[in-house]
Amino acid sequence: MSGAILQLQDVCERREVTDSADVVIVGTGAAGATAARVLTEAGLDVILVEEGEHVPTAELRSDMLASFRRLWRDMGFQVAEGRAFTPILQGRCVGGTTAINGAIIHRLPEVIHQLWCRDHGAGDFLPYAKLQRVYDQLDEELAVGAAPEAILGGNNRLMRAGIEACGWQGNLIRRNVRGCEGTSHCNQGCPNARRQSMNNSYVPRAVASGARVYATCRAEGLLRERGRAAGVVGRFRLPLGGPPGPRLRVHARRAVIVAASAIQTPLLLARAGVGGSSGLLGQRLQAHPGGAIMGLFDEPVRPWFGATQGYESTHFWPERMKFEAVSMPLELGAARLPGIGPALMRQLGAYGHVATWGVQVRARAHGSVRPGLFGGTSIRYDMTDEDVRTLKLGLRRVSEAMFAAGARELLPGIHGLPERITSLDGLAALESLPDDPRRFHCIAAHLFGTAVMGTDPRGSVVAPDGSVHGLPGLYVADSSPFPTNFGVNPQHTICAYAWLVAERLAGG
Amino acid sequence: MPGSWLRGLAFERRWLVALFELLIPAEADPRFRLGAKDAPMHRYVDELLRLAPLKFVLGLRASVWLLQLSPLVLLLRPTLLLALRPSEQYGVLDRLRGSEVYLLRELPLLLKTIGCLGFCGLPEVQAQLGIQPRDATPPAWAAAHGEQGRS
Ligand SMILES: Cc1cc2nc3c(=O)[nH]c(=O)nc-3n(C[C@H](O)[C@H](O)[C@H](O)COP(=O)(O)OP(=O)(O)OC[C@H]3O[C@@H](n4cnc5c(N)ncnc54)[C@H](O)[C@@H]3O)c2cc1C
Repeated sequence: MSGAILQLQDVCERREVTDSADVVIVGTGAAGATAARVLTEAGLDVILVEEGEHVPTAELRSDMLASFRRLWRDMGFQVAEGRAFTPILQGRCVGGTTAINGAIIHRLPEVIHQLWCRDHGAGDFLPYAKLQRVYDQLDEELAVGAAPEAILGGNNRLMRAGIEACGWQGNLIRRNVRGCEGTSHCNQGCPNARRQSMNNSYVPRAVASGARVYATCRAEGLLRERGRAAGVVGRFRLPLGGPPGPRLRVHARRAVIVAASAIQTPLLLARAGVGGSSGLLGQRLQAHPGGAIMGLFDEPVRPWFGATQGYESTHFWPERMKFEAVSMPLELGAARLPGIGPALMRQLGAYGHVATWGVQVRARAHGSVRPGLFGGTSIRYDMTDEDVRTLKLGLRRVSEAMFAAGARELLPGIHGLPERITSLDGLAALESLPDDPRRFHCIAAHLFGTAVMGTDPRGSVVAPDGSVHGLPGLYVADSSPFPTNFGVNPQHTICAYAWLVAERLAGG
Repeated sequence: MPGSWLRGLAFERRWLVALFELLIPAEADPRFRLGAKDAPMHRYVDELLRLAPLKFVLGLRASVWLLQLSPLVLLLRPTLLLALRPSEQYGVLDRLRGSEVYLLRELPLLLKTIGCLGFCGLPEVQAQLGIQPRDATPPAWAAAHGEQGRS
């Protein structure tokens, strides 16, 4: 069978598209594409169903609205409701969120792995040595290496200077990029296909091995035969609306893998009426909510040049926080500058001297995901008071590093603090602010736990090997089964988990 | 008018454009002379309201109404925000930004965020800062008829 990527424009003349394969996978992100890579190379026939568009590199645009429109879920406007609105950022395109992410690579910390083994029975399926073996192979195939000095740019270099001046551990970020040109365009889709996101790596690799990808097609339900998962039904439609296209009906001879992300996977399972017996489906949503501080430097920073994220510090990981340099596209960075009207424009004129560093919190909060009105999604997430205290401490430390690196002023963007702070004394009020998430502007992009793994079906949705309790032949391979968050960036661990789920399915 | 009435009435679209011009004014800084009025923001608004999720569009419309009606509560004057003198407009917006009520202080920020998302994506805006966009073609909404500025 020859591989191909088909989307609405290729099938719009038809009433229904039907196909069959050994394994049908929903989602082409970190999990889905990796599973396809493993299964196709084990000789299995694979179909991938993807809600978002396939956007070839030549069609990528610099402007953020264009990439929000074609690559991001809900144009970047998906939010969780709680005391504050928290943007929940995800990709929706071939490659999933890996097509817009910062390319940061980390492995699962060993202490977290031990916790998963002790409390969730992960050990038999996920021994640490096996995980390491898969990480090594992923590293090699996805060109993982430290950000090269030549493409660091001012934002990353200044962060290194600040972290070192404070005497904290920090490092160049290990990234999955082959020959990064430092365009700082990670969030718009890599303009020269250097990032080894799934659309540039495992999706084409699986297609070359015969996989068919049905893009712009949302999986809407599961087929069952003789008490087993036997396929997927869906509908072609452009993600941001337009008339519906043909229906899709794909049969799976061996298994269905749902890899639609920790937000979409529980929704699909709930719609199909599976995985709900423990009451935990869609519950226990965990995240790494993050906030950022901007600093104004005398020297030029030129945040539009360099690796989008090239320097980090995990020094305070045991205290549930991690720091990263982050270069936002101007369209997003400008909105974080203080002031409105003429004051905003004066600040914008100085944008070339602004650095932005983020704090990511290994939060304790648990949220939930359930179907919303009119086919939408209802996400609830609220940082706990303790999470907010961690965030405050993290922001204070990042501020210290910014001053240590020579920042003239900080632009904290925190309600209750001045818009500009010129010394650490100015940050004293931060500690005494109420532990209220509404004072900060956090986003969440790392998501876990909504179909939690475990050996007891009464206390979990899937077994550690991803098989869904109660419906043979159905697997979940993304971060929904992860029992906890882990304070470092998750894509590599999601790939590794999907790899192992697929490997077992393939009989390896 | 693109889309249904749920996606914004003509006068609401004009309000939105005028609010962007207030939040992102031209000639405010010698290093940065461009402002929202130099860009075809009406087309940006049309594109945004046509494509964005309905829930977001409804929230944005509600925010525009709340901002417009805010002088009623803050100044006890039966007038719209956009009908005030600029110094009064900024005064009202600053009071909202400093409000202890989360939803109120988020209103100007939401409009600023959405305004910047369009305005700052223009190649000529980026060029003023010395940014050379990877592709110097303007965003689709700005390129629609090759024209710049207000129609
Ligand atoms: C801005 C940003 C930066 C990030 N940076 C990093 C980073 O540097 N390093 C890191 O490790 N992590 C990063 N992440 C997080 C990381 O990218 C994600 O955790 C990871 O991609 C999740 O993998 P996944 O396979 O679970 O989901 P995704 O990669 O999101 O893929 C899921 C896919 O399923 C599709 N889908 C969903 N529902 C359906 C359906 N019903 N039918 C068909 N298709 C469906 C979606 O459209 C999507 O393409 C970042 C995230 C964001 C938003």
